[in-house]
This record gives sequence, structure tokens and C-alpha cells, in this order.
Amino acid sequence: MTFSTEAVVVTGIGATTPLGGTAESSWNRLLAGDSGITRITADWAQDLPVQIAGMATVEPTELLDRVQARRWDRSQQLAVVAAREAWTDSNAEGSVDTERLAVAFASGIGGIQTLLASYDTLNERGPSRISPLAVTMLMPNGPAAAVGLDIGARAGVHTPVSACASGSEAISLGLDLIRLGRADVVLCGGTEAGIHPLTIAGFAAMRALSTRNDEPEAASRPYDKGRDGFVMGEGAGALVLERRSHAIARGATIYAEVAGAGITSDAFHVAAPDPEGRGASRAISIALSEADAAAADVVHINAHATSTPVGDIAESTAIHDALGAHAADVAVSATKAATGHLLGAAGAIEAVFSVLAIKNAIAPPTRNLDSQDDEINLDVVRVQGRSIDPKGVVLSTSFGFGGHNVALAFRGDRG
Amino acid sequence: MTELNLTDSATVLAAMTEIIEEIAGPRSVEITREATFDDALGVDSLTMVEIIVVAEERFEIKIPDSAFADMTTVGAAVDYITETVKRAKASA
Repeated sequence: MTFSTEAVVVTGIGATTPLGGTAESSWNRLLAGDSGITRITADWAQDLPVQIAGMATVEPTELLDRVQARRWDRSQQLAVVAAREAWTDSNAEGSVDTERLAVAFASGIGGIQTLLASYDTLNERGPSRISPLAVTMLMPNGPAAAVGLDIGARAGVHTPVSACASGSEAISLGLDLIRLGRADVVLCGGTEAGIHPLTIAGFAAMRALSTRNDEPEAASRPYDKGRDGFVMGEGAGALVLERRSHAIARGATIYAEVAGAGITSDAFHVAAPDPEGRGASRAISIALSEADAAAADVVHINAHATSTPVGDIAESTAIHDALGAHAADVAVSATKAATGHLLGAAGAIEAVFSVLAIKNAIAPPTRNLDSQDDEINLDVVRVQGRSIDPKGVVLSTSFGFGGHNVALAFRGDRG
Repeated sequence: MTELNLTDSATVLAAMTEIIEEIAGPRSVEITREATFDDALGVDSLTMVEIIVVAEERFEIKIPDSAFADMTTVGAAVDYITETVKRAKASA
């Protein structure tokens, strides 16, 4: 077996988020300090304790063929929109052997809107009214399969499912597939379309969501003393990965290197983070070790930072544990303040933001941070973005219910 | 909307044409009575099931799987639907 130690690089990005319908428009609104969180005005939300969310700004059905869109769950529609953007951006169509092209596309919940709507149909109108496509629309691997079909990927289609770490795990898997020689190019990412009264009620029952219904744009406030939970978002992010030599040979534009990934599990509690952040800290250390980098090389962290009271502190503890004294010198951004928490898509969106931070040499701002929690001793980038050295290491962290911890390490292409 | 006379096969053909194009998208060939769903119209088996589900709803009839298997052409489907609607009206 051959194990490639050659650099793996990002050659295409795409995103559809509560901030914008593309990676660039999302990034520009993030830099401007805008919020993607709004009040849910639909009737179904009026009796819920939480009535705010980050809805995708561009309806995916507006960009897709009508017949095709009808055959995809919203999570699949969003995935295909982001994947097409990344694929077009990579300019790989026609220059990649499709038998060496793989997909790793994650989702936290999968086609839950189709599942629940089909169940309503079953109860109200009987089994003969269930769509013959219900199963392919609700299965968790549905988005990966839709993306794989769309680009003609024949080297395997994968769906990591690890709650809110899913999107990052997909990128880690993409890196593995290339290093193991199982694919030359991997389109990876994550998608989520779970804004529904059931999921909101479920997360609200865990006391995980912000109830700041009257101030939607101020509700997601990572690291702030007044934070009271996360805000659900929907959307998708996608990245095209390949070996550096493969990218060079086909004349691709390189955004950044995916230098390492670390995956650990807490074995502590199914939902609560380990307060000492040991698993999260080890994930960061492993990612740095894979990247052959030291703590001092880290210039920016796109933190998981969901805006929950305990989670943000546990992650801060983990960052200090992994980076030591250097932790206080790193520009930390919590982009969920603007996007909300896109669950299984979060890691993918934040990987796109990390890559754009390197490309533009800037760490994006963290809105709503009026009064930083005393227990969080991090140098958080606030109202304005801050310049960073694009040759340094940028970390993106994601943690999920189940005790999943994923850290990704990116850095500028070293040529 | 005026009520369609669904015991008239030309009306049913027009309604079926609409359903086929709504579910499968615009077809490159004309939808005639003689057109086969699979070869001529390129309708795969899952799409066919979708078309039948919508037809059942629109014509307010039941199309059992046994009848469904014989509907290889648009005309066969139109005839089955027209007859079933007639019988339903007669027994109503």
C-alpha cells in the first residue's frame, strides 16, 4: 500500500449560507459584520419557545432544474448548490478521471423534512400517497449521493455522520482518501436543512438554543457574557481537495493546503462537553502534529464556539491546553455569531471561511461580542477583521453531540 | 376552475399530458396515445410511480398495481382512467 505524504490542497470552494448564496457573498457579509439570523414568521413557529434561525438567503430551488429539485430533499438541494459552485470553481470538470473522483459529503440529520412530511402524508392520506422517492430523499447519504451523481464521481461516495462535527469529518475523510491513494480528487463538504418545529423543540428541550426571540441578530453571541445558547442555521459548504502535484499538472488555482486533521472522542457524555476539553485539545494537537507544525505556528482559529454557556468555555480551555502560552496570541473568530449553527454543515462552512481567511490574509470579525466572558481568555477578533500571516497555520474546530471532536489545520500553499 | 369531463378520453389525455410534463419535465417528443412510457417518453419506473400517484389524486380514483403493470403506453393509461372514472360515476 502506498501512503502519500504529498501536500493536499484546496482548489475549489462553494457555500450557500444564511449570509449569502455563494462562498464569496457569505464571506463578504461576514467581513461586514452582518447577521444571517432572522425571526421565523411562519405559523408553525408561533407556539415554539424558539422562533429564530439562520435561513439560507438564496432558495436552492431557484437555482436548480424544477423536476430535479422536486426529487431532492432540501438538504440535497443545498448540497448540490454548494458542490456545483466548488466544482465549477475548481475547473476540474473534464480534467479528472471520474474513476479517481470521490465524494465525502456529510449531514448531521439528513432528510428530516422529507421524513416528517412523508409521515404526515402517511397518517393523513394513507400509504399509497407516499412518494416513491421518499426513501432516497430522507436517507442520510442522500446529499452525498446527489452530489456524486451530479459530478459523476465513481471512486466512492461517503457520508460521515457525527452531529455538529460531520462537516469537518468529511474534510478529514477527503484528506485520508487522497493520502491513501483511493482517489485523486475528492469533493467534500456538509449540508443541513433541519429547521423544523420538531428539531427546534428537541434542541430547545435540551436547553441548547438561544431564546432571544426579540433580537434575532443579537441572539448568537459566542464568548459574550450574555450568551444563552446557539441559533440553528441551514445551508451547505463544499471544498475540492487534491494532491498538490495533481492540481499543478492540470493548472488549477490553489487556495490553501489542508495540512492536517485530528479526530478524537470524549467518552465522557453523550451531549455535555468534557469541561476540561481534553478530547478537543488532543484533536488540535493531532492536527498540528499531522501538519508538522508547532503551537507557535498557529495564527488564527475559526472556533466551534456555538454560543452555549458551557461549550464555549470548554473549547477555550482546550485551546489553552493544546497551544499553551501561545493561545492568548492567536486571532480567534467565532463565525457562528453571524451564520448561526449549521450543525452538519458547520464544519464545511467554517473550513471555507478558514481557506478564505488564508487567501485574504484576514481573520473575520465576531459580531455580538459586547462583554467577553471572564472565563474565556482568548484574543477574539471583534468588530473589524484582523490581518494574519497567510503562511501560518489556521485551525478550524468542530465538536458534536456524541463526544465527537475534529480539528482541521490549513495553511497557505508553500509552493 | 371548470370541472373537466373525465369520462371523455381526449380530456383525460390532455390531463395526463400535463401530469407527465409536470412530473418528468418537458418531453422532447409529442405525448400521444401510442407513446410508450419507457422507450418513447424516457419515463423510468420510479417516475412512473410518481405519475400514477398524482393521477390517482387528480382523477380521484385508485389504480392498483395489477392495472399499473399493463399501462405501457399513454393510451392504455388514458383508457384505464376513463373507464374507471365512468364506472365510479355510474355507481355513485
